Amino acid sequence: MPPKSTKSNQSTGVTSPSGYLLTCDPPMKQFIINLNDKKSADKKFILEDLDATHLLIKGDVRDEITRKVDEWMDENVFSTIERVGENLDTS
Amino acid sequence: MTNEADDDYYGTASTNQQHEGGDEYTSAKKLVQRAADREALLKNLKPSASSLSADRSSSDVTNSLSTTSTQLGADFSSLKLKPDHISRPCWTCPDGTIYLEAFHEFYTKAYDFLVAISEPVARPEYVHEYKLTPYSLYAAVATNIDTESIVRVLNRFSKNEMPVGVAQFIRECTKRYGKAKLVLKHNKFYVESDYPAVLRELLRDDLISQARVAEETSGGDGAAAGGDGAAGVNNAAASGNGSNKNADGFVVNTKAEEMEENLRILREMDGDSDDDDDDDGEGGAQKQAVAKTTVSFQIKGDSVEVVKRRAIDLDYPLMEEYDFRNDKMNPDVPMDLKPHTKIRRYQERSLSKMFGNGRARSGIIVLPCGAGKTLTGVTAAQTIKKSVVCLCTNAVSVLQWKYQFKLWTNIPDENICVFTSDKKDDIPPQSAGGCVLITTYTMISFGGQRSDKSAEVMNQIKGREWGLLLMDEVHVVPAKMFRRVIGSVKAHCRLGLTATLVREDDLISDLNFLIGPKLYEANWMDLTTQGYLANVQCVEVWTPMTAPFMREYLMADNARLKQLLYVMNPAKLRATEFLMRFHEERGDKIIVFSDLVYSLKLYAAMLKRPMIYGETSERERQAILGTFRTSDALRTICISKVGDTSIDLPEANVIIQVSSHFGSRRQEAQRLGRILRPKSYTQTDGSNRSSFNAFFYTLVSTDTQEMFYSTKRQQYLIDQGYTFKIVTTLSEKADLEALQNDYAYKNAEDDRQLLRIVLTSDIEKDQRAEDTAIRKSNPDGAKLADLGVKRTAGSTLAQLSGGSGARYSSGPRKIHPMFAKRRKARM
Repeated sequence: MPPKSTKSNQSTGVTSPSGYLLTCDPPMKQFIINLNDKKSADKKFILEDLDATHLLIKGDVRDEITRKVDEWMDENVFSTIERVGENLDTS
Repeated sequence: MTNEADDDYYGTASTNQQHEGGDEYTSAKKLVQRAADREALLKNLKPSASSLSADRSSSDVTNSLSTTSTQLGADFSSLKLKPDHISRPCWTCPDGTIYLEAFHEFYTKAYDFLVAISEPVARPEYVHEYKLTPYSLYAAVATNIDTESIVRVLNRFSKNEMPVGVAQFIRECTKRYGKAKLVLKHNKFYVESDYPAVLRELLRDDLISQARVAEETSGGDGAAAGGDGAAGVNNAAASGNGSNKNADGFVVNTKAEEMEENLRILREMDGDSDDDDDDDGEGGAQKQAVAKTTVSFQIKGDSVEVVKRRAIDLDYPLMEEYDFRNDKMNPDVPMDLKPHTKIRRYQERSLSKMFGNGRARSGIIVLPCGAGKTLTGVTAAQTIKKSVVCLCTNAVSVLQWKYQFKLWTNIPDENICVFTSDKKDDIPPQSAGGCVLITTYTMISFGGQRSDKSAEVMNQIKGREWGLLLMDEVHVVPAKMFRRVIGSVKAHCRLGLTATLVREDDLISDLNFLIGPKLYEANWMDLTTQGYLANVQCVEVWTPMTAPFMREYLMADNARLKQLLYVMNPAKLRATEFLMRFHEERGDKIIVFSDLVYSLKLYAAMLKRPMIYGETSERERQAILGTFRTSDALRTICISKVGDTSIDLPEANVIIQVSSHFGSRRQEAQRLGRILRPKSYTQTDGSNRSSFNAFFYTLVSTDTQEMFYSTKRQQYLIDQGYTFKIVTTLSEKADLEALQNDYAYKNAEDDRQLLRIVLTSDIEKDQRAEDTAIRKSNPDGAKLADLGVKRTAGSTLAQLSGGSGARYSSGPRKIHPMFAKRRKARM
């Protein structure tokens, strides 16, 4: 599901970064948290862990996340096109 | 005279023992290579054909198109349809693929024909896919279907004009196969052919002409063996009504007629389509009317191997046929089918392929699990009525085979013997008649030091001439083991039986030449609709990973832990309990399969049902299985992978698969086989044929590797026409039920505890214990279990083909000096 964009506002004294509200199912949330955990401290992108299905993330990682999620999803898909000549018993 | 020939024969057997298996193997390799070359021919034809038909600007475009087309399906829109295409059932594509409309009125006729000449690729409900391969065409000519009939009948069935390339391919592949046969008749070897020219060409070879025995008398050896197999295998065999010699000194005989049933497929369409190609039909009919003659010359018994090898080099591979009715040297086994034995139609058909012309030819018969492979084997054995070596995968199935032999035939006790690691019967002497020897692959192929008793039996096996080598589950036999088997058992005819001929590590194509072509493959769906197999509903249940498990899954670095996490997914636990409760209420019998022992224990504890795994003692195992079979008190049992190879699983009608061996299609098919036999307590006559009476659930944790494996595992069954229904909502329902009915794992707190247990436990220990236990309880099956079931993702081809089977490794062992001395002294 496409992350919903939330307008962040520049108030006078405090600077708050812009972000996206990300809605997903619980396993997906774990995947995204896992992505976040693997990054070094300055690259972390999760701003707020809201609840089981929502996260607030930085705006600039949106494309990266979409790409990573796509890759992850494809990983677990078996396609019959590569069937020619492969071994039938392993993996 | 005859005695001498016999001695010669034994001479070969003993001297060639060491090398022969290897020789056969290299010969088979040669043939495989040649088949591959021919297959390439078909591929190469394609670009030229497409460039002819379509006006493409440059050849690069054509090439790139043809390369992509192999992946994405090709564009054959340029093929020309015949005007009356509606009344024809097949599409023939230039790449050798044939599509058959399963709803067509000529489906059955076309089906029998296509199964004979091509390889079934996928057989779903409406449109079947077949492929012409060199092997399938080899099988076709092996059953006496000649080249021009194939081309003619295929053209008749085809909706479109048959592509030139395909006809060319068929001719090229069948040009040399099956033209010459090696026939064992009256204990003399003859090279036989319909075409004198072929024999002349063979005789031009020095080695072959040296091996030839000059025929002295033209005495009539016309023992017309009109046959009526008690099995209902009707043999129209007339092998030689008096023989005479022709100018070349060849013995001329009337051809052994192929039985009517096998040839009918070539003719049946005649009446239907004689408007446009009646000349073809006429020709075919006339050809049949003229009595065919064959020519043959005799060769020396001791140079059979040489002749066979030379013939392969000359590209006229000899097909071996065994004229068992005229084999007076080997004693008969006194056995007949009991009158209550009923052979089903498809079993009869498969056997009629084998005994097509009154002789026995070698080959493989593919029947689904539960469709009566054993009975087919037993019937074949009793038709030949000569000594039989029957090879099984493990000691348990040895006993089953023995039981089946006694159940279906009246074979006396002393003529059936068993040779396993714990039971070594003496083989009765030749004078007492032939015998049926049932043993395992490992016993025969074992290369190390044997016990005295076992060595003695082995020598008896080696020193004897066997009529039939019957190989059960032939797909599991590693190439190396196979070579040894062929080296030590001297059999005139080989029959392989299997349910799943899937395995693409070189061996399947080798089998075509080591054993023989695939003679028959049953269609699962047809057997289901005929009521011989249970109508199975295959369901894939998607269970989402719970958040804590998913977190650990993503962080886990080894595959074992990942596997454990997706198997122990609480959503899955709940779904299992839900399904079990549901089906127990319906009165079904359920088997829960889990490959991981650790999770098996946990599942069994959760369901409060008994489990069977490697370490379960024999007595306990029997008690559990006994209760499960006979009473309704126990409706569910949990079984680990021991159920795959080592124990005789009872029949059930529901399977819940919670964990499995990665992507093994064979395991999936084998497990399905457990519920395929129609159940008495669910079977009703004709009234509910359409509704499902067996259920096969696979529980899959979504977003994990299991999804990949699961889809992969299903491919074989999908090709057989099964459809998997995917259920995504069951998990939610199960979660609700869990709360209401107080399941073992019902809320988040339970899940967290489970996770803690899972993460802190030593899973490896359990798995190792399981493997040792399987070995201990069943030494014969162990090696096969290692090879067949325990493969992991990273195994090499060598491992797959048994190159690294560790079970009987005979590496240097450390021996205490004292014993070493003693051994030396003894030697």
